Amino acid sequence: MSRAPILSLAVKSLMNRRLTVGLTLFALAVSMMLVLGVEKVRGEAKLSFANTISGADLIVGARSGSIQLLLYSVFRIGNATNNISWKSYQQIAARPGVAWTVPMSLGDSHRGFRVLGTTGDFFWHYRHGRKRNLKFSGGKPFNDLFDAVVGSDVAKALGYNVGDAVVVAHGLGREGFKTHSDKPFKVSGVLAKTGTPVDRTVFVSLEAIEAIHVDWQSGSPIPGMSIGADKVRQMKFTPKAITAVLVGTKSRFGAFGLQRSINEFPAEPLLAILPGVALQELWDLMGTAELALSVISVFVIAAGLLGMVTMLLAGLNERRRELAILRSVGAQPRHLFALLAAEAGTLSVAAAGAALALLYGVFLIAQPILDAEFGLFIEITSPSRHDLTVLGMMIVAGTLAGFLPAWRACRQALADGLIVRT
Amino acid sequence: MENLVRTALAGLVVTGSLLAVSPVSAAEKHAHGEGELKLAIEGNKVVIELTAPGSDIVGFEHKPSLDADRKAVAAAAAMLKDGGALFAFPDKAGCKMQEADVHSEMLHDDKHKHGDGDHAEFEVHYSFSCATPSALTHVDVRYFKAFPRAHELEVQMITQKGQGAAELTASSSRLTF
Repeated sequence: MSRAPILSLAVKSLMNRRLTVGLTLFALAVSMMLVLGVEKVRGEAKLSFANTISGADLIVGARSGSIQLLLYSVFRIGNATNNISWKSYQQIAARPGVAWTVPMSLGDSHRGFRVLGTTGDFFWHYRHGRKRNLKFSGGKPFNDLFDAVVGSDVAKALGYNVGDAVVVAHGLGREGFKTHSDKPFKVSGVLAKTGTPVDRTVFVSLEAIEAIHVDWQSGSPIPGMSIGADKVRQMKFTPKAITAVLVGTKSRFGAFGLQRSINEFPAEPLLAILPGVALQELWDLMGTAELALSVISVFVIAAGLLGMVTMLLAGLNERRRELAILRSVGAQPRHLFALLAAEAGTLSVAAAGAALALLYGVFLIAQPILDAEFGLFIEITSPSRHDLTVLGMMIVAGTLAGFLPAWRACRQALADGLIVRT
Repeated sequence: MENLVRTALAGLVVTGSLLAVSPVSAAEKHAHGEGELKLAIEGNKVVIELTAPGSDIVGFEHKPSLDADRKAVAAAAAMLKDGGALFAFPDKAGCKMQEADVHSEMLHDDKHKHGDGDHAEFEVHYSFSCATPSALTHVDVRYFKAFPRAHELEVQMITQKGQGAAELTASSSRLTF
């Protein structure tokens, strides 16, 4: 018996047991698909996280730690230790290498969501994921002093539509604390889902942040003094201080130099970070979660292989006759071993192919859903070298796992002879 | 996915103040064995800034007063200047070094100025020009072979894929873009 007939015999034998083999193949394919899928989603999630804010070359804030600055300026978690004076901001904006700046003012909230005071440029310069722009699912950027733009989660959670009224609360407490109820905002636009903290933010103009505090002092309304919204509209506001600045540089080469010079800013202690670098540092801190995913993948594949070995082993009993007949026509134990190993190998190869088909099928269906619901954009690409390596390793592992039933088959065939005992 | 990230990050806020490490800018950091590498790619140009403590390069950080020390500094500076040997880009990219500038207080025989005292550093600025920038997939950093006293390079890079961070050591000295 040469090798090719063994393979064709293996395929024929498998075909003969279509149902069990089909189910095993499916289980194996699903586990292989999960491994590839988890790997792909992990990679995309990492990329999407690293590109939470991909438009800005630098983020500038008061001097603290780089991760702290990233957390409050991008993720709106925690608070700034200090502000940046408006004068320093203007000096930074005027630096030669600077292409654009977007000032950000944080500190107020609206029903649990942070309010970000900024300029209309924010919607233009902010990029996420693969350099994607912010999109409005309805309305437009703020125009009036009391216009607000809300992120998609805010709109969803609070049921806001374009034209609704919004009351901003002072500080970060929930509604009912001290509110700026005398100056309600109108929703001028709703942003599309991005999967970034933008979704959970209420945007107003920088002037609006100043305006709502115009008759306030030290965090409280001044008694007996209340300036109405219309009167405020006619006032002119220049912020005294802001919380952070997004900076775009004219060239990538300028970013490092600008960062250094801002870190040595003479007027006040400032910190400039490269957001992509800080985001990656942050992701690395959460490396355990990533490791957990990899561990799960390994177990998933182990479960799949175990299923295949079980099927092959269980099948041996009902195939005693088949194997005995093969022996009677001259098959050596090594031929039986090869047959069983070839079966496992064929199954693994078929499962790998099916896994790829399943993977792309699932991604094609899931891509728009993941994008719309979670803002996670999965780019469908041809299998990477890594994917192919993983598949190859799984095929090898599957074939090797087939050695156990193959070895059993040899032993059994030697002991059984032709007589089928029941 | 964002909620998950948020929850994880919220946990980090607690440790945030700890993570904030010391409120100094990166430029002021100085640790023996640890250097910094900043790399930016735009168009067909690659710019690299290498900052390394003197101890990593020549084994000491005082101004060379002995002839032997002076020779060691000069030899090290010459090695640092040879960017083509320190940074191996893929052959297909066809990168050629345009210039390299080595700066260090240790190179100047200035007896009056003492500057940073005993923590002298080397700062090297390289620029490369590449014929086929699309083939720029990685760079093999041979710095650790040239300077065995160095253990680690903290990398910050800006490439066509965006910003990124990496850590290079003697055993993993390939920087993938």
